[in-house]
Amino acid sequence: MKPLFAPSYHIFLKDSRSELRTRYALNALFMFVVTALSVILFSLGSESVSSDVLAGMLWVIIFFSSMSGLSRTFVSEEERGTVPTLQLIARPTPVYVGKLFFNFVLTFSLNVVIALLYIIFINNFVVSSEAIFWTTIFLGSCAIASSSTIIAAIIAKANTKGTLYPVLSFPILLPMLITVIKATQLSIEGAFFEEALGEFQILVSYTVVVVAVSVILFEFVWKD
Amino acid sequence: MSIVLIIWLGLVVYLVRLDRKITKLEDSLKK
Amino acid sequence: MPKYFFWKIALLIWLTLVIVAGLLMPMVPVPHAWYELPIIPALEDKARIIFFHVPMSWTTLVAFIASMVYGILFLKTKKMDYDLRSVSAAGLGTMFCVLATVTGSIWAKFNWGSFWNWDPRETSIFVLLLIYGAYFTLRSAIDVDEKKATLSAVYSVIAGVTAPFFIFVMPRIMTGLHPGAKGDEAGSTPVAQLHMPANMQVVFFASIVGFTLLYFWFFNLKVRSARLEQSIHQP
Repeated sequence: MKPLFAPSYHIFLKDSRSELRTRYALNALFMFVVTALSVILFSLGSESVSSDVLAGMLWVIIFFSSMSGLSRTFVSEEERGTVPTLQLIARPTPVYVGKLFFNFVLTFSLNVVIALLYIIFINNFVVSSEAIFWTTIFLGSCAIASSSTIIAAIIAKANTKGTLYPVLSFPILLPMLITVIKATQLSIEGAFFEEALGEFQILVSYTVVVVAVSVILFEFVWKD
Repeated sequence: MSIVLIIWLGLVVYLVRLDRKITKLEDSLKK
Repeated sequence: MPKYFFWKIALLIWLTLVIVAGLLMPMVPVPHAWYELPIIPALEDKARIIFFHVPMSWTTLVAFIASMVYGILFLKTKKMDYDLRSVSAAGLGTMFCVLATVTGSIWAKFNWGSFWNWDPRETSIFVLLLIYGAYFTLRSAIDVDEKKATLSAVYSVIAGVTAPFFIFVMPRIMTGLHPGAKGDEAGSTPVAQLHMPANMQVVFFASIVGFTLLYFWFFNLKVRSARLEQSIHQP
């Protein structure tokens, strides 16, 4: 484990530092969230929509924000031409793990912001069971990060990267989306924590399986 | 109902002819 | 003469019998003779579609697994022939998937009232369609043959790994219209209900076997013609 941890951590730091240094991408991402939320608020107007619909829309925003932001970690390497360097200085697995962790931090922070804005600005959206809700956001972010990272690695090597990314990611993520929407609905209804355990189990096993498979497959994607 | 049978019979004929054609091509390439 | 010619003719006769039986065995209120099927209230003749819809869904799954296995074999051996087989399987799988979705939609209209309901099984066949679409979109976005083969193989494995979540886990947790979902405990395998009387089961399973073998024949033809095409382009 030890030889894995250090290089992964450094890859994660490298990505974080370069994103924080310029902040173009982070700003754009944040503005995307604000815009998406505003569109929804505007279209709702004074209509009150059922909480089930609101739960679904929350994850729509989360999904598209992730699609905007999570491919950067690999696509930017291709664009800057730093891929051969990275291949030389690190083995494939730490590259994957480092970028996976970066994507997780990115999507989790983004989703927390989205969730908070959602709760504050949409009146009808009242979370009765906070424990379920925030656990869902956390586990949902894990699941999104896990499949998004490997798909990002794949499309970084293809031609029409931007449009290809959601096309490839959506079928993979859909079981996860259905689960988190269900769990969010439970949190609105004010269910007991135990009732959502089934959903949480699915999310955890999904993440574990996808990460395990990605670690094995990443080398094929990464090497030429 | 009978239209299904007609389509099916058409498919049967097509399959057999296609298989024959491919086999012929493969044999001529082997030579 | 094509190889296994007589077996292929036998298969075609087998399937013809299945189709004739499926379409023509009379449906009576109280079946007595071996060739009489029970009437399912409100469905009557349209229930026959079950002899075709389920085998098609089954076949598209077989095709998907085949495509994924060939993808893995390509990743291990780097032999392009495996990629050729993977694409062929995927193409056939897409065709069967479209057929399964359409027949399923027709069945849904008759059985449950509307063409589409987002029942977990319906959703999963739709997702499979999306996966096939994504697979071919990915392939068209890559120029280098070896890269095309590698990346699409990786994608098919990832998709294959998430598929069980759909097919087995979710229908258990969520209520749905298909048999085997949460509200319907009695005697169901994940794939098919077994409430059918014996003679119906015979036709049903014969159809599954027949369609699967038909798929293998299609696959064989497709692979051979793709190989022929390749040898013409690169003599």
